[in-house]
Amino acid sequence: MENDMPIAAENGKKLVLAVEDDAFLASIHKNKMAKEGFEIFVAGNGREALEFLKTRKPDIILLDLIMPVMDGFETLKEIKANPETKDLKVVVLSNLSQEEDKQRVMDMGALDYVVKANVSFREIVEKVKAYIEIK
Amino acid sequence: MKIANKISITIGLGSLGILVIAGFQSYSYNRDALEKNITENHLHVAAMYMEKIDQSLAAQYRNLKLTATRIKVRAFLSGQNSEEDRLLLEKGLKDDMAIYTGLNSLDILDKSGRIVASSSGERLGNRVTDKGEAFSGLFEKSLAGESGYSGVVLADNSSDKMEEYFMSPVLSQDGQEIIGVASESIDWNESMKILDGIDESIVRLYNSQGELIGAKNWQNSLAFSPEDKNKPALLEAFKEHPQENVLAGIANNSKALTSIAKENAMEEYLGNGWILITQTPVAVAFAGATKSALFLLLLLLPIIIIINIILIIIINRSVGVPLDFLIRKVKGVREENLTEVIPIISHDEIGELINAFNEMRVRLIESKSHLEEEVSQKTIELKTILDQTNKKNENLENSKKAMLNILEDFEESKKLLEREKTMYAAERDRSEGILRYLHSIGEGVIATDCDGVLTFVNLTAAKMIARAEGSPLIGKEYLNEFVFSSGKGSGKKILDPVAEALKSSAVFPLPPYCYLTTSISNIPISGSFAPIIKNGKPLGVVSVFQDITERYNLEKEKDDFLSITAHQLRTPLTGIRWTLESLLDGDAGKLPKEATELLDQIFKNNQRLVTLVNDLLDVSRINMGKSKEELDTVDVASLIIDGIKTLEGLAKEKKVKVIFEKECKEDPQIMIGPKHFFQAIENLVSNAIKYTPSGGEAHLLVSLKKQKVTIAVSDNGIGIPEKEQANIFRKFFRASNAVLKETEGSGLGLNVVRSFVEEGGGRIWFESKEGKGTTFFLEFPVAQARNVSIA
Repeated sequence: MENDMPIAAENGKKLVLAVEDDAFLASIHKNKMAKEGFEIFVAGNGREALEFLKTRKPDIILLDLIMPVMDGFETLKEIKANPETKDLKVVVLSNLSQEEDKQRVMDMGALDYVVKANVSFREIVEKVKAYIEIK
Repeated sequence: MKIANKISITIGLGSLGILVIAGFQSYSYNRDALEKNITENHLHVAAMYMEKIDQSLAAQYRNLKLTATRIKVRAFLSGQNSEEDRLLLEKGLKDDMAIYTGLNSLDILDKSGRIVASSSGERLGNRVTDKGEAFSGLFEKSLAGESGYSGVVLADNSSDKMEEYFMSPVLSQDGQEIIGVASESIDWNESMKILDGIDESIVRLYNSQGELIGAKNWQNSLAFSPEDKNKPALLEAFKEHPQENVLAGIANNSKALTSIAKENAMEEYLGNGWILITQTPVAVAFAGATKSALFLLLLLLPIIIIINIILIIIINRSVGVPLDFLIRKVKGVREENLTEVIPIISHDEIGELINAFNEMRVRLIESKSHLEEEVSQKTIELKTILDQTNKKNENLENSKKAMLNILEDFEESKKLLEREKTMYAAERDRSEGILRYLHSIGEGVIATDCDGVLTFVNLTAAKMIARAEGSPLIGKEYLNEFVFSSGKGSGKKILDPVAEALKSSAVFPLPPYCYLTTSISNIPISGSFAPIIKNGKPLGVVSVFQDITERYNLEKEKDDFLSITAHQLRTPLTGIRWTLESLLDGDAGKLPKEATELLDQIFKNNQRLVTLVNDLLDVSRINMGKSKEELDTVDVASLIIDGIKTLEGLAKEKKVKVIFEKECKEDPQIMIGPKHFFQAIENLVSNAIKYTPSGGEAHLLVSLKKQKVTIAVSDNGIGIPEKEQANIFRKFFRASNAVLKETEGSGLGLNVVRSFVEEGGGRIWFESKEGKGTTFFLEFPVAQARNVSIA
């Protein structure tokens, strides 16, 4: 897998792509992830994220669902439809808590579904570390 | 003799005869068994004792041979010997005697038959040939080189002592010449005592020459004779069976059961073998058989006599008396009383005889009146012809009348038919009217028979499954045309509501989230299936269902709105949460203690808002009926264990121990929405942890009783004040002491739990004491194996 997808690591750091439209949360992502030793890129919506994926292949994608321009459902569909990106690890971070939504993204190939308000950022960091470890 | 007497005597004699035969049969059967038994026993005893006898004789014989080969004996017989030599030899013989038991004497004879040395010394110089033919024969044989024994003889100077002589040749030193004979006399009385041990009353031992050589109580009997009457039979037996030990039972004479057995001797001495005859007197042998036959006779005789007497009485009554009566009557018949009928007194052969006699009498009278009758007959015949002509006319008249009657009846049934036709038409109109109504109803209506075959489908129902009007659905399996499913997509389960309604004999409402699958789409529907009952028996099932797509859409809109609202509320709360965490973690530098405390307050309140949003969402959904989760079989224990696991962190933080126990062996299953059940357990356990002081314990106990599963969640926490207990399940209610202990909490949790529990057909209640603790009980019916799904 690593051969197929050159991981563009800066100084050996793991790359996290956070797709988050809320500026407040986006800034927390940026600060905390950098502090945890990750290289972090925040995309404001799905379209931006897909543009980014054309240049870089992150170790993990943290995907919000409700976003302007292109929402998380569509973004996930695009990622999974493209052979270049279909094997990327995607964890959905959303404040939607409906079971149907969760089921939908899991069926589409997300690794995990986290209701943001219900977890501390530390837990997210731990999940990210754990999922990056998994081959 | 009278017939009755003849029959009686025949029966009496016959039954006596049978009795005697039975007695005889019993005797001979028992006798055969006894004879076999006794004969077998004889032969067994004989074989055993003869072996003993032969062993003892063989030993004596071997001893004699030993003496005969002694150097001292050979030397003594080969040369001239002094008195001293003789005394020396006799001492040797005495020594041998002391070793060989059961001997009277041991002698050495020279070739002329003279005793030259003797253990007793008394008979020195005597010649054995003087003793008689038997002895000289035996001696001659020994000189010819053969060993042998004599018959039994009376000992010298004795009237009751028996002896048997064994003789064996003595050879010269070089073994070429016979120079004398060694002779021993066996104390026969002693030897034959062996036979006294045999149980049978008569026991006799013969040698191979057919000579009687021993008997039981030999000493007393002495009644032996060389010319025994058994001798020819014995010799014959010997000749015929030279190799066999047990010969056979000799046929018994009238007085005793006799058996004969043969034993071949171990050593090669005269004639080689013994025969033992054992006898048991018949009187003794068959005493048992005689006794049992006599017993049988004595027992049965009186019974047979009684039965005979009864039989004779019966025969006399049923044959003798009626016959006497008949004879009297027949004898009394005269011309003048020919008309007297003899009464039938018994309905058997005699009755028939009387009947026949009566008939004969009637014939007699008849033939007498025959002539007169002939005349009157002719007259009657003429009259009959006349009558017949008249009757034919009458018949013709009758037929005419009958025809008219039929015509009349026909007219009447025609009228009746027309009336029925009118009634039927009205009924049909009414039925058609009802059918029209049913067809026109906006809800789908279908009916099936008990096998699920469609008997009615209204237009709306046909339209729902996109069937063109007039397309035949009647007579088809409803399951193939109307596919009802619970849920859609991956969790879809095909339902057979007709079977459900028939099984329960009650209305079966379609569960929530039910769809009617058509070739085009899944239509959300609600409705019910009800059995059609006539006279207590189900005829089929009728169902009315409704397309509720619009309601669904409306609900979905509401749901989406709620969901987005929650989302929008949570997003800033998330930002606040994460920022506060960051601050508290010291990301912005170390904070003064007061600041930390204040931030902590803000953090807790923020969390309260998060919980409130979550719970509000749950409650709203429950109120909308949206939150209903599809029921499934849930393994109570494993879900509880999962629930406890997610709360491990909280329990650790609060220092509360959570203990799970299962009281029953089984793993109980219940029907409930799995996620809701999980949430309910999680909620109760987290309450138990939160409201218990650190170091406390929370217990979960699962038990199973009478098809009910009970889950008890107990803590030794703050408890619920008695005054407030009634409000505990109310929305937004929080107990006063709970608010003090935990600022977080929406007051919606228990309300949600109760809704979830009731969803699964369960109930919830609690027991609590302020300051002691609280126990929440959940009770559910055990899941029954469902067969709703037939997919």
